[in-house]
Amino acid sequence: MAKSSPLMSLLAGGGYETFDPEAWSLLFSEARRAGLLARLAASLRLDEVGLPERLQKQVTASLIEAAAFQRDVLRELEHVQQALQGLGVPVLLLKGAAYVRLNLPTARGRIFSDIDIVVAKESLAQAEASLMLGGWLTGKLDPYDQRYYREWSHEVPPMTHRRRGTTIDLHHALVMPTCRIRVDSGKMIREAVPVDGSDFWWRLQDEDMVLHAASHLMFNSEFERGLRDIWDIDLLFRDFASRSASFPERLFERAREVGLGEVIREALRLARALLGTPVPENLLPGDAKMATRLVARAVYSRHRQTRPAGQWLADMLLVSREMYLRLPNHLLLTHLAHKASLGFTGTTPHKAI
Amino acid sequence: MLTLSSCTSEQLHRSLRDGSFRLYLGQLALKVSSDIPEFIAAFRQLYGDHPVTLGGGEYDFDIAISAPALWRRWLRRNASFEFSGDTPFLPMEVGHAHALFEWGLNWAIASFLHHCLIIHSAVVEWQGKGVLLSAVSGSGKSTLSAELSEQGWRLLSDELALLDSDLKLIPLARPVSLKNSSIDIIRQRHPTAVIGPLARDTHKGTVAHLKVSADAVGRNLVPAVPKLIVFPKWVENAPLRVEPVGAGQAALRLIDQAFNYSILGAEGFRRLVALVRTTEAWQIEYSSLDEARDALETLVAEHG
Repeated sequence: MAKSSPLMSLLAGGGYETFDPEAWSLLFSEARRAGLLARLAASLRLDEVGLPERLQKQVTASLIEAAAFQRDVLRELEHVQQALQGLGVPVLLLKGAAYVRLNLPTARGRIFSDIDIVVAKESLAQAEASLMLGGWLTGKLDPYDQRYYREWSHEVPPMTHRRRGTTIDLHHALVMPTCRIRVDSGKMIREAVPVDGSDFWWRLQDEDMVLHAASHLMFNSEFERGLRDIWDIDLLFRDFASRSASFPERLFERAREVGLGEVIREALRLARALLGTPVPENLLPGDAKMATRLVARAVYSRHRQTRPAGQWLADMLLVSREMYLRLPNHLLLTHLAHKASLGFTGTTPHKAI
Repeated sequence: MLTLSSCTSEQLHRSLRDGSFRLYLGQLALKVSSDIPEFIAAFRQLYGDHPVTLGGGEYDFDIAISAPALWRRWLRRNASFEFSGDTPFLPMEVGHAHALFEWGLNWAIASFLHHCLIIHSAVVEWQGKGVLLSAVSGSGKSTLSAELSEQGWRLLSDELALLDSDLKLIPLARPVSLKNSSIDIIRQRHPTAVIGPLARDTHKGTVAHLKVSADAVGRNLVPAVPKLIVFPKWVENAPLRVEPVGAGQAALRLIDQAFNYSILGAEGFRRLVALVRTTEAWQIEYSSLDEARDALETLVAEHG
């Protein structure tokens, strides 16, 4: 039986005046479950909210962790730059690492595991070799997974640094090349812009950053981090819209140009419903599609006490939808047959404590 | 305040089931939930003197020891450690559930309480003076802290030293985890000691837990001032050796044992330097627990 969720209520713009200490504690527990405690901590105005003292300490602790994380990401980017600078090719930063490098509001308290970078397809092999020289190695993969990555996916297998343990995902495109929806991600990459004050890093245009975050949310089935992804979209949208009043129109226009019109509409419907993202009504009329409603259910609080009924079913339907969207029929069948022949293995948590 | 042992079995089971149970571990409040009888029995035995409430309220950590999801159930009965509704570890058999709780709690403390510098070290206190016993696993740190706690020393923690921004050691008195032969050693030396059920064949061998004294639990809200850092090492048949350790060396050895030193960054360095400047560091090698205790009491008296 689901209790009402303090996290979802707060994200939707509700007040915390009615929170008793137990509701605050549940809010923190939910936020931890969603990987959002540090971001929540960073966005609470502590002097105003009257937090119980023990939770103040949790806030302090998670802010310390988030600050350390940002420090580590920036340092890691310097290592990556050192490794790749000699190639003389533009290197595009994506998602979390881009938010941190650009110091966007989205970076505040955002904890993520990998650094995502894109280089042109013809430079991919060189970039991989340079990263290997810099100490990043590809873990052992079986031949099938190697082939899956190299032929059908848009990245080389994740590379982990042998000493620091940090992981880089090296891509040559934004979205799966075999995706059923025709997306001109090449255009987004070609029209990327240099990061201010850097002669090495590149970033997507503002509109494309939102579009990329949206396609990540709508094409993936990583619901564990889904709420964070929607919050990212919301923060990006608010930030860019506050800098330029015409941003919302340009965003929708750009989405049409690159083939993500429907994706951005559904993602923003979701963000508006869950986080109150201020999308002008004329740009986004009407109701969400069925799939979007499923996503809404999957990315809602996943905490045992507050998750919605039927979340597992939404998860399942969305996983099948993701597979369908990602791979054409003959690859889909091959892929499913291969995975089935290995036996179904769920996610594996750590063994040692 | 209500203690765990003064709750009726019925109250306890209901409260652990409906989410209203809180365990107070010094400054920490834990929401604990469980419907696994083996865990509840061991929990009741080992945490009997700890303060609890049964009416809900605020908490730091949300922990459940529960039956795993359907697709993770096998022929034997398993228990999962849930943290904020998430299961960061593989389930273990129900007979190990109380050990899983202790390990999971250590993990949670070391992963989240970054307002403290967290060092892999036992913390004890003698005559009002805090002592860190820092050692790599297998050096007999837990056995030594169990022995000291049975001999009237105050135990603050057998695993984790929490050093706050005022350089105070935050107490976390809770069951001491004993491994393999140390279980019998403590049992023979202290026949009245309360030792919980054995968890056999865990990844750390056989594990059992020593209940700490009501006095140590009663002082769980009173921080200790660190006065000595000791690096103990048990070596079979070795004669007692007590040697001073330089402050720089002590700092490096503590960094090596710190869980969140890199997360605290410059502040971690500052805190550690302040710690080794306000304490003395020694290493002792011993084969006899009596000699080790004598040596520690002398060190506290003369150098603490």
